[in-house]
Amino acid sequence: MTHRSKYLPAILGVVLVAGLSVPAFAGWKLIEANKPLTVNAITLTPTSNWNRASAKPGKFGVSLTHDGFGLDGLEIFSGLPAGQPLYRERSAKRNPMPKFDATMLPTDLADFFERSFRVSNEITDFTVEKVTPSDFGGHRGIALRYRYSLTEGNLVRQGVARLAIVKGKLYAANFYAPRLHYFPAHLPEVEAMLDGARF
Amino acid sequence: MRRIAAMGATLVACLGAQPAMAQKTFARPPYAGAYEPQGIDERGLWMQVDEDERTLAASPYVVRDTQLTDFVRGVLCRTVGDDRCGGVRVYVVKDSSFNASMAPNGMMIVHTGLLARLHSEAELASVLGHEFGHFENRHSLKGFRARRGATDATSWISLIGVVTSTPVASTNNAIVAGYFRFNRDEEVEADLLGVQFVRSSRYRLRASGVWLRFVAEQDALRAERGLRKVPRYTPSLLDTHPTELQRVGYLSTLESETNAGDDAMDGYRAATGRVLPQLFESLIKGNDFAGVDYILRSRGDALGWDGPLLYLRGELYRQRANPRDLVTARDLFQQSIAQPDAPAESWRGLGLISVRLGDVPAGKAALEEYLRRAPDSPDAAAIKMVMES
Repeated sequence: MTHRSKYLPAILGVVLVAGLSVPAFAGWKLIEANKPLTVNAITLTPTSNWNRASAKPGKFGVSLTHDGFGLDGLEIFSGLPAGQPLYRERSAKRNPMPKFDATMLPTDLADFFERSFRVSNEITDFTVEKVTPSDFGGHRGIALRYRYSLTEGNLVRQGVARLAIVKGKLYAANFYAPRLHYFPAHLPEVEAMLDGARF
Repeated sequence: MRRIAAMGATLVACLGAQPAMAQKTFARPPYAGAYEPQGIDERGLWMQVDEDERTLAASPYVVRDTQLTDFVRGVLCRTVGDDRCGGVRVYVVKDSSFNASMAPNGMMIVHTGLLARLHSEAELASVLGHEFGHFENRHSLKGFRARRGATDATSWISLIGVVTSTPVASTNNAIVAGYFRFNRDEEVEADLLGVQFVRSSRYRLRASGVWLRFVAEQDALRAERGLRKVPRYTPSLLDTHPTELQRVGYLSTLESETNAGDDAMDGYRAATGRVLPQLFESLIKGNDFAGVDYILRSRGDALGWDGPLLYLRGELYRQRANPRDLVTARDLFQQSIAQPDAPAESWRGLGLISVRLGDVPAGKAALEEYLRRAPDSPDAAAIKMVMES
C-alpha cells in the first residue's frame, strides 16, 4: 500500500557491496574450553570451544557462537554507561535504539532489553515467558526468558538474558537459539558460564 | 482453488485508468468460481505463492485468533460479496506496518499495524476492496510480465548499444520509468475497483481519511527524527504507488459524489478493542514514538478513550522514560485506572512509575494491586523484587 520503491534499496545495496567489498564478519577467534574469557570487566569460563566474531553487537559487547549465529549466539555486554544503546545504532535518525538509563528499575531492564532486541532484529513476534530475580556476576539483577521468531523461516526461537546494574553501568548477557535442539543443547553450559561470571 | 472466471475485461473497460471515470453505480459481474491458472506464467506464479502460503500458514507470525480473522473476513465478504470472498484465505500477521496484500491465488494478508490504524469497518472495507481489486484484475501476473518485458528490453537494448557503440542509457531509463508508471496505474485501478466494491456494499466510502492520517503520522515521525519531507503530490520516477495525497485527491472526490452507507465504527471498536494489546504491542515496543502517539491519539479521538487505550499510551511514554514522560505516563495510567475496563497492567505501570518518581508507598500499593489482579503474570517475581528493594 505504501509507495516507496522496494527495488531502490536493493539496487543501492548491490552497488555498495560491489564497491566496498567489506564482509559482514571480518574474522573469528577460537575461544578455548576451560580457559577464562575476559570481556572488558566480565570474566567467565566456557566449558566447550566457542567462536568469537570480530564484529561486535554493540560498542560494549562481544558475540560468541557454537554453530553460527543462525543457530545459536551468546552476547556479552560489559560496562554500558548511561545514554548508550545496547546494540549498535546503525542509523540514529531512521532506526534509533533505546538508550540505557542508570535509574532503571529491574523490571525496566527487562523492557529495555526487549525493546533493544526487537528494534535491532526488526522482530514483531516476541513474547516474554518469565522475568525473575537473578544473580549475575555476583550482583543482584534479573533474568529474562523469552521466545521469538524471525520474519524469514518458521522456526520458534528462545532466549535467556541476564542484566544487572553495577555502579551505574549495565552488565548483560544474552543467549538465543532455535527451540529445536540448539537452545536446550547449549543452555546448561551457558547457565553455568553465567552463574560463574565475575565482574 | 476458486476464483473469478469471467471478470476482468468488463471491469477494466468500464473503469479505465482515470479516477474521473469511476462509475457511481456498480453491479458486481457474475462470479463463476473454480478458476485455475492459465498458461505457464500464471501457473508458475501460483505455484510460488501456493508454497509461500504453505509456509505462512505454519508461521508463528500469524495471529491465531479465529474471532479476529472471522471479523476481517466478514468485512471482506460484505464488501466484495459472499461469492467472491468464499475462496479467500485471510491471515492476520504480526507486523506493525500499515499494509495489507493479496496474492493471486487468493491469500489475503492483513497486518496488525493496519488494524491498529483504522477506525471503522468502512475504512477496512476500502483497504480490503483495494487489495481484492488487485486480485480480481490479476495485477500480480500483469506486473510479472511487465517486469520481465522491461528487463528483457533493457538487456537487448544494452547489447545493441554495445555492438553499435550507441548510447542507450536514456532509452533504458525510459523503459524502467515506464514500468514503475505501469505499477502506479495498477494501484489507481485497484483503488477505483475497491471504491466500486465499497459502493455496492452496505458500507460508506471512507478511503481518503485513512491516507490523510497516514500522512500525518509520517509527518509526525519525520519531524521528531529531523528527516526531510517527502514529495506528497507528485510521485518520483521509481515510486510503485501514487503518492498519499494523490490518493486523497481522487478518493475524496469520489466520496463527495454519493456516499450513503454505514461507517460501522461500533463493530470495529468492539472487534479490535478485544485484541488491542496484540494490535499495538510491536508499535508500543518499537522506536517510532511520535508516529505511534499519533495513531493512539487518532484512535482515542475517533473511538473514545477507554482503559486499555489509555494504558497503551501510558506505556508508550513510560518506555521512552524521559523525566517529563514519567509524569505524563503516571497521569495516563491514573486515567486508565479510573475506567471500568482498565487492564491490570495499568496498576503495574502506575506502580513502577511512582517508584521511579520517588513515591515509594504509592508505588508499592499499585504494584500490590497489580499482583492481586494478575498473580500469574510472567514478571510477578521481578515485581516483588522491586517492592522489597
